[in-house]
Amino acid sequence: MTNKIGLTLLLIPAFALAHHGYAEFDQQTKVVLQGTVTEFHYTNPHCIVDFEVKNEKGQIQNWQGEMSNPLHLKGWTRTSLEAGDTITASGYRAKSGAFYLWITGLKSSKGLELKTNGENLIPR
Amino acid sequence: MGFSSTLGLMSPLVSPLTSMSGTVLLWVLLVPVLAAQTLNGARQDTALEPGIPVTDPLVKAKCGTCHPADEHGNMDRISWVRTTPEGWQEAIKKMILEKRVELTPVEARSMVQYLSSSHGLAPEEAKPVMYYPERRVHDEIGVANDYPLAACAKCHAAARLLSWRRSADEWKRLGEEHFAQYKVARNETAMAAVRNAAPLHTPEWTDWSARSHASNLTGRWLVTAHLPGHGRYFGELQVERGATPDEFNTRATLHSINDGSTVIRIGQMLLFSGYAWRGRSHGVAPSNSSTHPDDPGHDAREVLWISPDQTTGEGRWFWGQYQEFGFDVVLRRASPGITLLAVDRLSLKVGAQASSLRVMGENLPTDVNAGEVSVGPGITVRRVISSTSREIVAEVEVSATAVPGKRDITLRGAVLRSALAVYDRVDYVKVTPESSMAAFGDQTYARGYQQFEAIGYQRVPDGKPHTADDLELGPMDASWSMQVFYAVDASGNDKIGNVSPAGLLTPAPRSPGGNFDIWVIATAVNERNQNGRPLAGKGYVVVTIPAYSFDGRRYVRDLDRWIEEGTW
Repeated sequence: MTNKIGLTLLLIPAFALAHHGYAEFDQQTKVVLQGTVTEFHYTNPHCIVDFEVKNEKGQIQNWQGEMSNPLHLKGWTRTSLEAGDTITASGYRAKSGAFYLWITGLKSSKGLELKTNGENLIPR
Repeated sequence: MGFSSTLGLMSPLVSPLTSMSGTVLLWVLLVPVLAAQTLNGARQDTALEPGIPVTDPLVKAKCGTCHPADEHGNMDRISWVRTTPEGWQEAIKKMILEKRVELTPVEARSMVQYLSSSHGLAPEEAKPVMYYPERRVHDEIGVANDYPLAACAKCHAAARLLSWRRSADEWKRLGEEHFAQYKVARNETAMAAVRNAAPLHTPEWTDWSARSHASNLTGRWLVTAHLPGHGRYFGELQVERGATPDEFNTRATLHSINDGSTVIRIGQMLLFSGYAWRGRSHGVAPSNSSTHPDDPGHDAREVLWISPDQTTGEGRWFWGQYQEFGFDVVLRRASPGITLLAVDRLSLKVGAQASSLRVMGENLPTDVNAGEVSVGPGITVRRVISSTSREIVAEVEVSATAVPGKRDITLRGAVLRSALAVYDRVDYVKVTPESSMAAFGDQTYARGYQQFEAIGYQRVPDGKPHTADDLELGPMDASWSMQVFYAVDASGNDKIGNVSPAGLLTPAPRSPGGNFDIWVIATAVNERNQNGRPLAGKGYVVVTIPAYSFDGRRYVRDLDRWIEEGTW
């Protein structure tokens, strides 16, 4: 049925499955980042977390992390991640060099964990 | 956006589908309602759940061959479902397209009229699902956690599901058809949930079907409206009887609170089930001379919910490729007494001095004095600057110790609830809609736009942002920009589109050949955060290709349907 839902973006979160591929990401290299949440967008078709990461020189980098949609983040809410939370996010970086991460794993200082075993990240 | 079907069969005006008598046969409807797979087959469980008899001669004549009636007048399948006018229209379209039922537009309209009254929804059942026919941007956020219908919401708006009420047997049949036709995993929990959430027989329907009566909406109504990007309006709506008892002619006169301009719209509408307003309207001079896609005089469809006592109404008048433009409309019947309609500002800051406040209304006293106007605790009305029967301008000041929160305005017994907010700081700016869609155009399809607004908020009392208790302060002055996901700079923005100073996203005229996720960013002109930086918010937009093709099928936006390639 996925083929029938392509344009019904806003009411149909499964649109996230189809609206873009992942060729934009370097899937050969897994990246792990530690940072501080500045904003969390509990939105369709992707939940997005903005977070600051200090590089080795102590400079702040503003990263954006893309996760699944709310329908697939079982148990999550709009306030699951809040400004000031520290997180460890793993995933794949955009090939463009932008500070952009496709997040496949996440742990927060409040104990929130994104698990890919289906416990809270529902398999696609 | 999950869009329901158009009103082609019902609209007394522009009727795109009725002009497609040859091509409507190409429709592919996803919901196998009334599939009539059991032709002439007797229901096995009619004794378990009573049906709703069909009494309309036309429905019996046109549908009776495939939907035989029992001795109680219950027609196979039809008598065990209830739905909205859009739902019945969709069902009838399906019969026209797939079963070759021959109907004239007048007959189809009559059948929709009858069925949505005799087998419709009670007003209380319809109200929660109005966002679906109103074509609103609506995130189904929370469905996964709060509602066991997540399995259905993967493909459907929850409102699409809940726009139908069915017997347990009809829900079971629908589920079985889905399991078979769409290879959907069997989910008994979801099936049980939907059976419980949307049964055929409800107290609301029992009550409404007993007391529903012919409605007379004629007369003068007062209107308040909001058109994103243009601000708020107030005015009046004249409703006159049309050619049939359920048909009405309308003339709306709206005055912009922002710039004082006037929009006049005339239209026609049909009333279904005594409360479901479906119509079309268009602007007349002077506003219809504009070619801007968001022009307030644009041709529009009207979907409103009229309260059962016929004193108020609310809904949306909308247009656009994705129905992305539209007035949010509230109606109330005009009365001889004082009516407060709107104020020109939605918030006042603690400590504000000598601020002017315009109060718009109906039958306002012209001899009003400052002591008669109350704007709530912490706000003093110093003087009335001017007063007419439609507008009072007052000078107010806000105490330095005023407690942030909403305030009512009262005048000689009239009340405007939550008219404005008192605040002491702006904590964040939310861009609305938070997630949305736009589309590139091509030779076939016009572009789909998206209008944004930057809304200020103070986070009280729990201190957390983006929670239900946050205090909405209204639109903020902002500058607008966009950012493309994955891009390292803005050099490629032009191929995606641009955002106007008023927050209107216009996609590029030519599709670059893919979907693009972007942020539309509002940076507040006057409000800064604790670090002295301008407050900013952003809305998530997917700018899509003009049309989708997948696995031999193509999505036809005008029909809101996937159809086989080459058949349209």
